[in-house]
Amino acid sequence: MADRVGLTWHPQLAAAILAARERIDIVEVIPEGTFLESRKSQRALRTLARAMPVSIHGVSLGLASTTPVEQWRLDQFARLVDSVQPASWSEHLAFVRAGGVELGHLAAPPRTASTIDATAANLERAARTVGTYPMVENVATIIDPPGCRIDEQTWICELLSTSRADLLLDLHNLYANARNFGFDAAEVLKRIPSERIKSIHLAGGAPVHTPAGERWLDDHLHDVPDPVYRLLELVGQLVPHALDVVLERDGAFPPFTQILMQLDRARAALTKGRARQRLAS
Amino acid sequence: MPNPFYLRGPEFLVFYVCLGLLVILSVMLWRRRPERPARVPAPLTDYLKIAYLRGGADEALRVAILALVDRELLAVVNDDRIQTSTPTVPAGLQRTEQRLLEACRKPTKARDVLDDESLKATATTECEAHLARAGLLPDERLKTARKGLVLTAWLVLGSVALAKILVALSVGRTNIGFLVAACFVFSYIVYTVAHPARTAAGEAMLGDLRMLFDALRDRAMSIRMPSGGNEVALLAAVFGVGAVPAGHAYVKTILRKPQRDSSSGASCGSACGSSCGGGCGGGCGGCGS
Repeated sequence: MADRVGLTWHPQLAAAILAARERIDIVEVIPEGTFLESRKSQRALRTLARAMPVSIHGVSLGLASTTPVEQWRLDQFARLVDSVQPASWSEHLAFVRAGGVELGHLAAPPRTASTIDATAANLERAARTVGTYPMVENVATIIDPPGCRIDEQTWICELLSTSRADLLLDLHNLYANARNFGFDAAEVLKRIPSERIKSIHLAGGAPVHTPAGERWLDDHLHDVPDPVYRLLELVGQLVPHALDVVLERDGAFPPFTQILMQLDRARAALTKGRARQRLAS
Repeated sequence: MPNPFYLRGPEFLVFYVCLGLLVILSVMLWRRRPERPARVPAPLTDYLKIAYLRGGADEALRVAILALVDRELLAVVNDDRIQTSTPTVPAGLQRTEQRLLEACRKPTKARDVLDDESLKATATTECEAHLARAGLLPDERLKTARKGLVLTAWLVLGSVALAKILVALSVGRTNIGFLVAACFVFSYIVYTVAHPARTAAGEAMLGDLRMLFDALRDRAMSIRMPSGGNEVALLAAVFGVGAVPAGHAYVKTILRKPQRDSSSGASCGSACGSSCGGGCGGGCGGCGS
């Protein structure tokens, strides 16, 4: 079993990532803004993909919506995936536009049977267009979406049973939602079918004050908190197959050695979980 | 259509310029044809080879010095000299790096190191064959193909000029200066155009690296030396020493490319001037009609 641990690609970190590539097993690239639009940049991404495994992580499709994803957006991803041949591609379980208005962030969908069906239909179309199913990522939210009929874990599990898309489990999003809405992240983790978890995200966040009280914001600007490493350990214990673990850091970059230390810590947590799994079996 | 060799001087010059441009265009179109597709499994990540690809042995040495300073294996002394700061050459260094450290046992002017032909030869040996094998620099086969292309182009330009000169001389015209000058100028341009330093794959590789690293320049201010890795070396390899973090001006100063001084400018100017001037000075104003 060869788990891979890596981080999100940022051009600002490019030289550091390539210089430390023996300690980085995979990079995840957000294609919007550069790589989706320009052929020249796609060629550069293809070159990068020859140096190290690359995963493409979309933020603009808005799959978790009752509105079908526009075909031209899927076509863009299809061209990119075809050109770069990434190790995997993924998107969020979120909607990003409604009524012709771009929201500018990943909004958690109302958790209902109809959004499960609509999301599954979008995933089906995405798979038909791109050639493979995207992995789908749980999102963090500081407000419980109005109109929800079921809890988040039930919604995700129902979707996984309806669609063939696997889960990119963002442990910090899980942690943030658990803090914000008062549930036990570890217990939820145990309920998710472990064979469907194919990839993991780690990130950091910070508390914010809202009218509803203090909430934990998934801002990708801070170091990974300790409880998230403990969740990763649990993932290592529960998931039977190799995983890709990606550290998301989008700004306020610390010295690169600090980022590498977080990767080492993630590896250690995963190894610890794997050891427990071996002991149990 | 009239026989061009019987055109009058100015008209023939127009014809010859058109021919010259056509030959240059053809060379530009044909020079890439013998190139094989790149056999690069991955982007270059070795700073030395990136620097060599971008600017040859000079740049490879320049960036290697910077990388060794960043790794604290070389120290800058008295602002313009560099000296090895380790008693023994550490294991795992590239050959060029080892030779640089050996060459700087005593404080040595960076300029002298950069001008050292044996060091340049070491960098060339270490990088050029690898880059040529990868299809990023021209290999011997490609160089031979380019020579053939240049010779063919020269043959066309030269034979047309020679034929016209013979026709002119046969009717007692000796004002052939412009034609001779045009022939040399076009031949020089053909040679230059036919010998790009890198292959198309090499250009693409550099372009890809520049694109991937582009935003790094925005972050350069926050990179400290020693960087504890190859980050500074890669930055300099892709964009040049000028892109290294601010606050390390002394490194940039000692590694600065020499300014083209007035004497070298004059020599270039006179060389060009003399070849043209010879023709013009003869007061020909044409080329044998």
